[in-house]
Amino acid sequence: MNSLPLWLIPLAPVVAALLAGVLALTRRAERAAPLFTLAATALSGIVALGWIPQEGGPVPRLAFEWLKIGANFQINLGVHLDPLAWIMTAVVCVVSLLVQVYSLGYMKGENGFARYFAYLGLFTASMLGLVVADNLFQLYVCWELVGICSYLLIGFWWQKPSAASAAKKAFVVTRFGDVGFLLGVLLLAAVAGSFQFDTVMQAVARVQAGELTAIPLVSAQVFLWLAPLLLFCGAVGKSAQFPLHIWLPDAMEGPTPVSALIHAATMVAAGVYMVARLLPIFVAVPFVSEIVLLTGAVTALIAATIALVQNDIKKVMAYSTISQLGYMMLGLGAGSLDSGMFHLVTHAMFKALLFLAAGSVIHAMHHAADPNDLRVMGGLGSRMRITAVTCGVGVLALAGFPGLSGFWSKDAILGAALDKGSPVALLGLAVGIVVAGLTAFYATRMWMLAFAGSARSADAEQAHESPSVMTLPLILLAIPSAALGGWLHMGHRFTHFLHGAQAHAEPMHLWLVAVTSLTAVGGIALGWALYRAPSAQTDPVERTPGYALFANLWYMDAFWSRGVASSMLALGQFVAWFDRTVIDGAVNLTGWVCYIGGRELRRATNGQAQTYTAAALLALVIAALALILFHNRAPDRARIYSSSPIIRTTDARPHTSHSDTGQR
Amino acid sequence: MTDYLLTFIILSPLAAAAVLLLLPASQGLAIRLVALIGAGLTLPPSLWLCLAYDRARGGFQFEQDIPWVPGLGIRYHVAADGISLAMILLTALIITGGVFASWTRQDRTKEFLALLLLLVSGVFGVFAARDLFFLFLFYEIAVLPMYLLIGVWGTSTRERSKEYSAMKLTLMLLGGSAFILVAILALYFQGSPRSFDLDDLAKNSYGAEFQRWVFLCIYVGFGILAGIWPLHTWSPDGHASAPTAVSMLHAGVLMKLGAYGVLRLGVGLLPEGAMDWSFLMAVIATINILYGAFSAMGQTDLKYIIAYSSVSHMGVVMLGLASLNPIGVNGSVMQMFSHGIMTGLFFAVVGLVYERAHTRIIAAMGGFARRMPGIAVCMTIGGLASFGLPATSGFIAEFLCFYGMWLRYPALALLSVIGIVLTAVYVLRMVQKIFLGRFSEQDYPHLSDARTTEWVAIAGLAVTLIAVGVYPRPLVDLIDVGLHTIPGIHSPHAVTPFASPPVVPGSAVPSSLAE
Repeated sequence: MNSLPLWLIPLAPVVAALLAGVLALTRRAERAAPLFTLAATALSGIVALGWIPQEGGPVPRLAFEWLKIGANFQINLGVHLDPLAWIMTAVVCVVSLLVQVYSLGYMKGENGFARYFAYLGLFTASMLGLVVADNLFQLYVCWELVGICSYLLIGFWWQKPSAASAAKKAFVVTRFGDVGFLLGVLLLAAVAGSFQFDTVMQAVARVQAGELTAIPLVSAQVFLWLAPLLLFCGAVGKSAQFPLHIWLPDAMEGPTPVSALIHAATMVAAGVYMVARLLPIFVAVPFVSEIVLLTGAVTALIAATIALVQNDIKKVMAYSTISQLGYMMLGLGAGSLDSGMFHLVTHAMFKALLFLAAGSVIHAMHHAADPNDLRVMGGLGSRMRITAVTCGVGVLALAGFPGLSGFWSKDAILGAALDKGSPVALLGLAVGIVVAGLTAFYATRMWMLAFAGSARSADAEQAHESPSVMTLPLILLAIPSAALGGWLHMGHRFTHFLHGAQAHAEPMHLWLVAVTSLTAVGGIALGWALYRAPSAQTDPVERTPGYALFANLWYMDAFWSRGVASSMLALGQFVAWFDRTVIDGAVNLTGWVCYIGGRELRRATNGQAQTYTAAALLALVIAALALILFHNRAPDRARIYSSSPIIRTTDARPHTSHSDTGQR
Repeated sequence: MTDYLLTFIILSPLAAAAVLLLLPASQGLAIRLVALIGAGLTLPPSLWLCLAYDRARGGFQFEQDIPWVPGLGIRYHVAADGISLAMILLTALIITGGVFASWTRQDRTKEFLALLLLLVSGVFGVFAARDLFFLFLFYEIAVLPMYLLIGVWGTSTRERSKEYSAMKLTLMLLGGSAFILVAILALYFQGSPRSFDLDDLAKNSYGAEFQRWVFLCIYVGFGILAGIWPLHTWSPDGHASAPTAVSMLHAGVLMKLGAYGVLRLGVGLLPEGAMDWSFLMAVIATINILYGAFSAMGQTDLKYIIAYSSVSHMGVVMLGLASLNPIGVNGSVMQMFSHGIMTGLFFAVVGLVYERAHTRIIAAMGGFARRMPGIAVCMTIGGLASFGLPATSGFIAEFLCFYGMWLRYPALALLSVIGIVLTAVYVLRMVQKIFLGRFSEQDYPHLSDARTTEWVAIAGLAVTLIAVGVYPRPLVDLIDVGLHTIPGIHSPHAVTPFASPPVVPGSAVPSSLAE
């Protein structure tokens, strides 16, 4: 089958984004912009649907030689649709499409309507380009492009100073990770002589086997752990892992549908996808995979504890996303591609659902001073039934309620950690179970505060259900949130899709299933019990031990802003001062010395013959003394001059040329 | 016919400058039109030469060789290879944009434009010259008018007067010229028969000691103009004091003359000397990148931020150059082009913002995007190119420079890559402070977006940045062919020995790439 239409997957949204961009710039027919982007995203999805990878079938691969220098340095851009890429393509297209439909209602009448859809189209294109990449270069290019789309969309309401700052923070913090990523790409490409994934992975295998030894900068042993860790830096930044997770909660300044698409379902998962894509490199050295696992576990725990005490509905979601991304890393660190990707897919569905539901709530509360504040909500369930029910499905899926999507994928991750069985993996397992309980609790708390009980403010009393263009995506996402996990788990569909029907799938551990189910149900029950009739005085979570630590975000934001950011700016100021004072001072000093020297020497030319004669006499005496004292050195000097190539080529005799210049 | 085009490009601005002097100062529109024609007429032939250049044949083409002073071996000899053509195209784009950007100037426009055009003739001359005598002559023509342009038409800052900046710039660059002159004379006297012609000079073989010290002279002499640390301090003051079009031209094109000189004369004629000093060059380039970025972070004046960003970006140019392999040097020339366009755009935008807001202190601004959305978009595109965002020309240029350096001195590549995050910090901070956030109607009642002529300048440059970034292939190929005329880059020393070397020309393509 001719695979040329596959180019449409990344390119159709580009064209749509450009068209929408023209509308945005000319301020004409802004309302037509979503038509382009919606159609293009649907087209990408339909094309992908036509190329569902078949077992044993060829993997479609298109390549375009983008750059070539000399005979060997070549950069390709291409489309490569293997099962892993196909799954991500499907997720991106589905979520992007639903979010765009939802945005029709959410962003209606908003200033910059076309600009919004142009950005969304550009994001979709970049994300699809990232997903279908078959080489490190394209991955890095699209990685940066989704980053800038994220910047533009977080700062969509750029008149708000907080939004402008959040956008900058998100980009700069992820860029810290990208430095490592870029270095990793350079290192791997320099060793492999290519950017292609398969060549790079072969090269790493050859280094491990001792066949390839010439590596810049480091030894083979160091290379084997350095390269994946450098790449991992990028994943830590993009997927908001500890300690670079601080940007994601701030990113909630963007429009809520954007949070659903970019900061929950797709872009933040790019780090996970990258690790999954290159997993053989990461598991080549056990130490590296343990770092991945531990980073995931620490992130999951820290973010879950912070999510416990948040009162902003989107902040709860944001920390929850960080925590769930930690789970995915935990699974990948345990060496299980399937579990990490499985959770990525189910999480994309239920977290997109939760964010869109939150958006629906915020939309209904938009008259409130802070429409995101859970404390002024309450009782919304009776006024917004569809939102409440679909959000409830999302909460249960997130909590890992038995049978729903999150349950299956979370269990796969914990099972993978158990199967690995190393001390670090078991530690990760323990953390994972604790986090499962925390997750169930905070998710329930959020739902109860928003929808249960009675209204705690006039705004909450007047809230009403969102238009159907917004509730339809909620319903459409609720279905996979509930059922997709179970369906993919049945008969190990997910594993077989990724690796073929012969692939071995680990069976579930029944006692582990029992433990996690009980933890989840316990967490939900506790949340229900505590928030069934919330007391007006204090939130129960404020009485938990460690509240101060959680509420202060484990002091990580303070560390970054006061520690790192301030010292960087201080260093900048110091360098600016140094340049002005020391370096420029030296320049000015040179000028000053010339000026003063000239002024002082001018006194010598005073027109008096006596002075001139005295000076001439003095010079004669000094010259005579010098001749007597240093006479013996003269031949050496002559030799030096004669060997100088500059002088040698002139036909003057060395001695003459020397004494000539001397007298002048 | 194409053989005369280089001379035409050199003489077109000069002729326009001469016509300008004959026009009465009251004829404002005529003056502008003549200047625009003189500058704009260089653009089509520049583009045409880039397209007409025979890539299969390579080498120097469009040659014109006229004996000038036969007794001294001086000839008017111009020709261009891929590198020269890329630089000539850059110059044509910037000067055309510069004339558009100074369209609304009111004070002694005639003299201003005449000097600007004279200067640009010199720049074209340097990029096309194949004779060192003419190269040096053109070089001085390109440098000296700067003194008047800044001293007369510049603006003083709180700390530095424009006269001070003009004097410092001129003296430091003339100090560099002294080194260059020594190197040129050394090369001249070394050859037999004596000749200033680069083709003849390339045939000579130079001793190791000679190469080492003459290369150093060239590196220091041209390096001052390229802004190498610690000889860069003329550039922030000079760029900050200069009027818009002059800043555009100076940061955009003149600094490239420095890097071009090091590449053409230094690496081209004295490859072993370049090898000797490549580590030093790479270290200084790394310092430039980080030091310039930190300095930019510490500035409050918009023009100083841009000026220090040039110091940082020229570090990337010199970093790629110091790698002495085809990938890095290609990146270096790409970065020259990219930075030229980018910084030209920056200074054009800064000029527009200053003209409207009457301040350059970024802390005093805010929310300007409300009143000047078009300017904000163009500035942001320049900013994205500045920190090397993919799909802008800055990305591929920096990527190639870092990759090239990685193959030579990985540790320095590692350090210099930190520059990409520092650049993002100060660029995004600048964009945020000027354009985003709340807009104060009381403080800035008269802000407006760009006017027609200004649009041509900034939108043209912004589109160029993106076009080259999305598909850099034509430019990269052009430069790649040009690199074959520079022996230092393809010499055996230049190849870092790897098991699967990505840089050895002519060896078998790895199977993975062949698919």
